[in-house]
Amino acid sequence: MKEYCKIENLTFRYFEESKRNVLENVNLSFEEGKVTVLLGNSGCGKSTLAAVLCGLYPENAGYLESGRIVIDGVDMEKLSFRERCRYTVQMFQNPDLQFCMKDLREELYFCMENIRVPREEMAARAESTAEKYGAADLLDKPFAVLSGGEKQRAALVCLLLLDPKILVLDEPFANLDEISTKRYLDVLKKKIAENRTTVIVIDHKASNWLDLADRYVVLGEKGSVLRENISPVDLASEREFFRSAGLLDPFAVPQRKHVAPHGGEDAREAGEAFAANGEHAETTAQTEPGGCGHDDRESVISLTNVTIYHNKKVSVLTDVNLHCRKGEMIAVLGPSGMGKTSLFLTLLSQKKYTGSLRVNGEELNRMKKGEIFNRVGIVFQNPAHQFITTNVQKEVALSLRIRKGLAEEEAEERALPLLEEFDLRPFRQFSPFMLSQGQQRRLGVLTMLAGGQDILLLDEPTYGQDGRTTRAIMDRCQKLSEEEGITVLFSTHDKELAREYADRFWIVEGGSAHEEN
Amino acid sequence: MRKINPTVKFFAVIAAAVLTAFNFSLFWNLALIGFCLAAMILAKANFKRLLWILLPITLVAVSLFMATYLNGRAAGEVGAGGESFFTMSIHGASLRDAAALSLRIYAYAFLGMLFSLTTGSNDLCYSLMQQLKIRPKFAYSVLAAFNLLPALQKEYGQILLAYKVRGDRVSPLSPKVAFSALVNTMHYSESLAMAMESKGFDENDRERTMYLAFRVRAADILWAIVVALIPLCGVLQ
Repeated sequence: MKEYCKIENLTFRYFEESKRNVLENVNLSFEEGKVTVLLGNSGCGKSTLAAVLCGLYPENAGYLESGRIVIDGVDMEKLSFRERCRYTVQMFQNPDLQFCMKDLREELYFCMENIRVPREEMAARAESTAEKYGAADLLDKPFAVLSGGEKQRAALVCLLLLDPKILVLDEPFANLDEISTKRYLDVLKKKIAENRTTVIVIDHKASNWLDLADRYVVLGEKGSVLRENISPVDLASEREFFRSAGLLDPFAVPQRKHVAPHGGEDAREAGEAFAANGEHAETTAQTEPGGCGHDDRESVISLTNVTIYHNKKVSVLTDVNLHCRKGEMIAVLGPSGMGKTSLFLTLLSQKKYTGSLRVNGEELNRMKKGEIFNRVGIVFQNPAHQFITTNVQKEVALSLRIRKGLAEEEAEERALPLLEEFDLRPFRQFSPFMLSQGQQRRLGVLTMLAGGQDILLLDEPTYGQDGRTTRAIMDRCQKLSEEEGITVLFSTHDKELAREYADRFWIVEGGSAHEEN
Repeated sequence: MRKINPTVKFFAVIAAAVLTAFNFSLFWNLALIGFCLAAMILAKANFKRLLWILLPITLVAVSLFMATYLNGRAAGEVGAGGESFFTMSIHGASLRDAAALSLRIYAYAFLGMLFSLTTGSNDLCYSLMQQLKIRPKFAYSVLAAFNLLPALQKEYGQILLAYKVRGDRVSPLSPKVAFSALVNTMHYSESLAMAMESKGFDENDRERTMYLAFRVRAADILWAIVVALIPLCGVLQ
């Protein structure tokens, strides 16, 4: 293998005086024009490795004890950011934090200014690049109104304009639906075919890259290389290894695990039908009150002819008729930006609606806010928004204290096994803001699960998680649903996950929402 | 108007604002307001926004007018000792003072709007980089922060909601919420800085090309002189 990009003996930690290396003696190399997918458990140092590779660390944070990166025979250490972006550029997990300008056109100008493109050429080049990579429609739309998928596509176009030799993508399908993912991959394929661009991708789902990947590399603790050369052809023979390493099985056929505590045969059949069809099957039953089977369980959430408003004039979802019962797990599916989060916010009385929305039989509009929050909990897409202490253990303990009335010491003690279950115990003294994105999400889910509300709304709870932690989060939800009758609504783009855990599916698309079999 | 060099415009407006502090002339304050209004009409400024801004300004101006007028009249009556002619003249002075003071509020408001409603944030930052040699690091930081405002606003709402859902009763202005928002903002700034650097942004690059080019022309200087001259005439009157 011709070593086009070489990472040599890399040791990195966030604090010089810290004893815990995030990366330790990492050696890896990448071939020109090939697509390499880096897999590994959440928190194993994948994102840190990407940032070091692109020169963003230690420039912005951390301490590089040893090691160097050589690309095409050039030592990266000596290069400025301007020179470096000719070699490596990185796309980040969070689509909201990739742009400093107002819209894609201005952002493309910004990129061109960075690499000193003459002013006269900029306008034409921005147009042609956007046109070439199918983003002409995004050029003048403010980023603030773009969906997550559109932002990721816009970010990719900016990077492609810089024409780097190596493209580093850190979980690029962050909250992307299937259509957005496909459009994104099409753009990438085009670039690789044209320029022999080397692509290094960080992802948890090997199956996302079956068409494009040349090899998979599995990283372990501190960035150690567990498997360096798994080709897509050999992936099937490595399933046992994937499972033992706690990674998502690339060929797992979803088996529906969750059976609602009481009956729910109809729901089971619905789930199986969904699993068999894969794509959205034809809607067979617009639910009516009590219309989802013959279950006599208490109705927990009931929306009848509900229209949800973004503001006084604009509605997000119209004529929604949905119902769920105590102890059910409902997967909320649908393309990005269609109103899944708005639906959740409405259940927390944060959006105006007309029609009838009942929670535990009471009309939401007539309930006091405090009462709603006692019954309904939420985990946001960006979990960093919900941390209210500066210590991981205290964060979980606080939920136990407030909701379950435990004393401080007891709450902190009871928090430990929960942290253990979610692989967060080693970080119990860390600030929540210091955790990796995957760890933050687990902590966000955990704080809410410990809160003791009857209804939990989880907005993309397993995005960015490896196989083990995905299972830990969803199994915990399932346990709460089965044993304590907690109702769980989780939005996801991961249909396998939905098939595995949900009793029923709510589809949010085209300005409305319905149940689908 | 939109073509006036933003840096020149910025300093002209500052100078005019300082001079307005010493300008008690009704006529010249009115002239300044008229000039600003004409300039905004020429620049096709957003008049809906202008009217919204004028609403609170009017409230302040009317309050100041009434306070000055009534206070001045009361003082006049005491000082006049009931002399009707003298009282009348004091009334006239109070009315003039009150009008001058409240017009000054409008003059400030119009100067501010003249700048803000006719100058784009990009134009100002590019111009400051080119005319004042401000480092790109500062200019783009301001632009990025400005463009992130809608996201920050949304985020603040989410943090507030998160506190409430966790069972912590907080008000929108609670320091706890502000602290969480601040920590998140710091994280935002780090992430954004890395995203910018990943795209080749070099804070020390003095030779970066710029999409928007600004020069200071004679017309800009002339415009600045006129803006500053109007309140200066009032001061010297």
